[in-house]
Amino acid sequence: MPMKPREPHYDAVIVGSGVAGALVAKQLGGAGKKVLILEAGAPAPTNINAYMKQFYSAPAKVPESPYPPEPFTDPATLNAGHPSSLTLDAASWQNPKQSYLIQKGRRPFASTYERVGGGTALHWLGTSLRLLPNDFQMRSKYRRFTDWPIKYEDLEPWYGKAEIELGVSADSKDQRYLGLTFSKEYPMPGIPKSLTDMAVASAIDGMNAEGVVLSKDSVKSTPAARNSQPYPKQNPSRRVCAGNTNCIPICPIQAKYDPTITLNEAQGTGNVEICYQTIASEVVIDGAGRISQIKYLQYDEPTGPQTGDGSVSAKIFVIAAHAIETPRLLLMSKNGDRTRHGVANGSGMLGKNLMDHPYFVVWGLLPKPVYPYRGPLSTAGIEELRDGPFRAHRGAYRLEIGNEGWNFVIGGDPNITTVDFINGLDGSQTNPNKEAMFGAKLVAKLNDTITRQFRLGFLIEQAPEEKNRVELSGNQFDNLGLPRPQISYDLADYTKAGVAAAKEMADKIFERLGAKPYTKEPDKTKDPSVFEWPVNGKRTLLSYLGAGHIIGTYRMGTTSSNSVVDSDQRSWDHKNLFLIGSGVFPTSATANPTLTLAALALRTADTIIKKDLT
Amino acid sequence: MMTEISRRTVLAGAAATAAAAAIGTVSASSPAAAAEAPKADPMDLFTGLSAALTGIDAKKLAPDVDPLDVKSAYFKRAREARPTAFVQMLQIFEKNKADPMVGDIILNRSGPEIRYLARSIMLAWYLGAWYDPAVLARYNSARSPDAPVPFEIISPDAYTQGWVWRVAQAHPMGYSNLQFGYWSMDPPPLDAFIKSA
Repeated sequence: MPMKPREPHYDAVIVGSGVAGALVAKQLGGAGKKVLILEAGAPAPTNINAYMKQFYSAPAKVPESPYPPEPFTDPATLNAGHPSSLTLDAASWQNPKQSYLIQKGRRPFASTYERVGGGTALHWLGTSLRLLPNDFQMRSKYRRFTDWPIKYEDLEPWYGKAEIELGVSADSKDQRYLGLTFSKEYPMPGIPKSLTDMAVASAIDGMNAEGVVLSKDSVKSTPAARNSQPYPKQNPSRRVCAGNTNCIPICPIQAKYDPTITLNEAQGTGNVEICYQTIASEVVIDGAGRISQIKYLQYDEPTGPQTGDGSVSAKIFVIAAHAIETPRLLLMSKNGDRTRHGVANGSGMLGKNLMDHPYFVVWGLLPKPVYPYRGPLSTAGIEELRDGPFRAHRGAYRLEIGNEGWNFVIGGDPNITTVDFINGLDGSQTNPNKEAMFGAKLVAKLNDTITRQFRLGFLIEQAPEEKNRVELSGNQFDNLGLPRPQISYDLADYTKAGVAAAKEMADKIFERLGAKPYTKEPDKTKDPSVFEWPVNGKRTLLSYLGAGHIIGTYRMGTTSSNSVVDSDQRSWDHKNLFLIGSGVFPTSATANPTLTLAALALRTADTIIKKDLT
Repeated sequence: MMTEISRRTVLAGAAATAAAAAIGTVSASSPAAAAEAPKADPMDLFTGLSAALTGIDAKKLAPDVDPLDVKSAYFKRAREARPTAFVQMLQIFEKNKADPMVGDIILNRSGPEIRYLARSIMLAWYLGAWYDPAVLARYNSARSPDAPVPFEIISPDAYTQGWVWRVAQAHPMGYSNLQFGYWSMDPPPLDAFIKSA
């Protein structure tokens, strides 16, 4: 039975217990403010082994696999539904009995999220890159899209604080590229590179890419919220990374930061209360245009009946339910008919400009073993191509080197390759003669094949487009009768050209590595993300995955007509309402968004403490 | 101090009892099989057979101290899936175990029932997953579906004991007993993973 709020009134009510919500709660609680968090999902178990058992038992070890609810549950029967990686193929992405999101766009929005205590960062990778100075100035520098209402310098001190809160490991001398500056060092030293990283570094040494001559040092250890040494500032039980190669979906030893760490710290202030299985259903405004309360619904079981409802009032309200559930809640909040187009939507831009980092992957076999399936899922990447004059006409990309072989790129290796050589199949394409082996020959073949596997991933900058948007479905509802999110999504030519540039770069790196490519040609009949675009002048079929980066939909800007929130993440329309998270990003850039949304959350918490809750 | 009645003896005894009971069940419905029931300890035959098929030492598959005891789970799963073929397979192994071609005899000269059951057992050891023999047969025919072969994880322990990870000189994803930074160095040689000392 979920708890009811203990008080009728709080200093702040926060919707969502993910990275952004948890950080604001901790800051406000630490300043003596009374905070209530409403979390749609169930709390994390007291012992992580419950999640691990679920993960170990899951045949498809997708990002959602350790967490409730059960996969393949009809989303109409769920109280807190969410998208799944298992419902993105041609047969299911537009089937409302399988896909929680009602996808009406030309192509699928391919990222997923959790609705559970701690939010989607339970299954994040931990990558904690800063945005580049030019990422904040796309209009000024490249005449594209829009500038952010803040610059890198405004956020730099908050990046430093966020790196401490999340516990980021990196060497700042490695990170001083493309204009990045650091006023303080990272709290922990960098994560060592893998053998695959080193192979790529050797291969690209001296390579010319977009006018940049790459060197071995261009493969940089990725800043990651992952302990490279004990970090007693936080929960001392958070251990040093043991290379479980499982950051996504779950680190078994919590060496990777997740928001349950901050939630524990927040509750440790004695001022923060969390109600789980409690779904915000309407944001209520008073006659003066301020938010007066939030209504909620409660449930006991994932597919059980509603068991409670209520409302709670506060001085300020913070919606931290990311770029799909935040606009969904605001659009549902019609206040009779007073806010027919949703709360905080005076600009008409709420829900628009949905973005991701379309994720392009290539895979192959190297001439020599690099021993994948060891170390964190990714330990290094190439960052120098995240900015350049080319951004005037195509999306930039960040190259991420994988340490997990072909695990996800062929649908669950090493299973696929093992079944191939035991049962005489060729699902991996490494057994074209469909030989079935046993004994020493089987061991030698599997060892030789699997130890040479590698993959490269490219996170592509996505152009913001108003037509890519979140709306409310008119005819599909969840178990509580709330309309499900309806998504329209496609890639702009700018973005497609970025994918094509990534493909050209991948081909060059493969050649220098002497790698044999195994990337499958995309199949339009199975994969709805496939599109055609020139690569080196030749029409080529390309496809993308989701990066799990849900961006846009309540962008920050300089005026109430060009944006939903101001640079403090405060609603232009309702002065005691803050909408936080990567939904405020006006442009996507190429960095994984968590560190930036964490820095913005800390900055906003400071504003709330100094200006709103004095 | 350990006595003769060690944990190993108890476990082996329990497994043998279970195996004998299982073969007894088979004998009720299949007198022919019962008449030729293997004389050796069925679990010893099962691990010997598994070693010949997988290429991994029997002492690695079923060590003297074996608290997780996945062998009993695989034995039970295989026996329940195909009771008659399972007994026949152990018999064939017992008869030919000194022959270096025993793996070939089981997989390629004993008929499809035994071939696909043997492959299911190999996949259980390698992946901790159960691929039903009939499914493996269907996915190995002229009308093989163009999709990954369906399976289920036998248990959380079976997943973490999967041998493919060791054959790759790695560790199961989500289950590492290694130390920070190990990934920037070469792993120990393959034999250290799959050969008994």
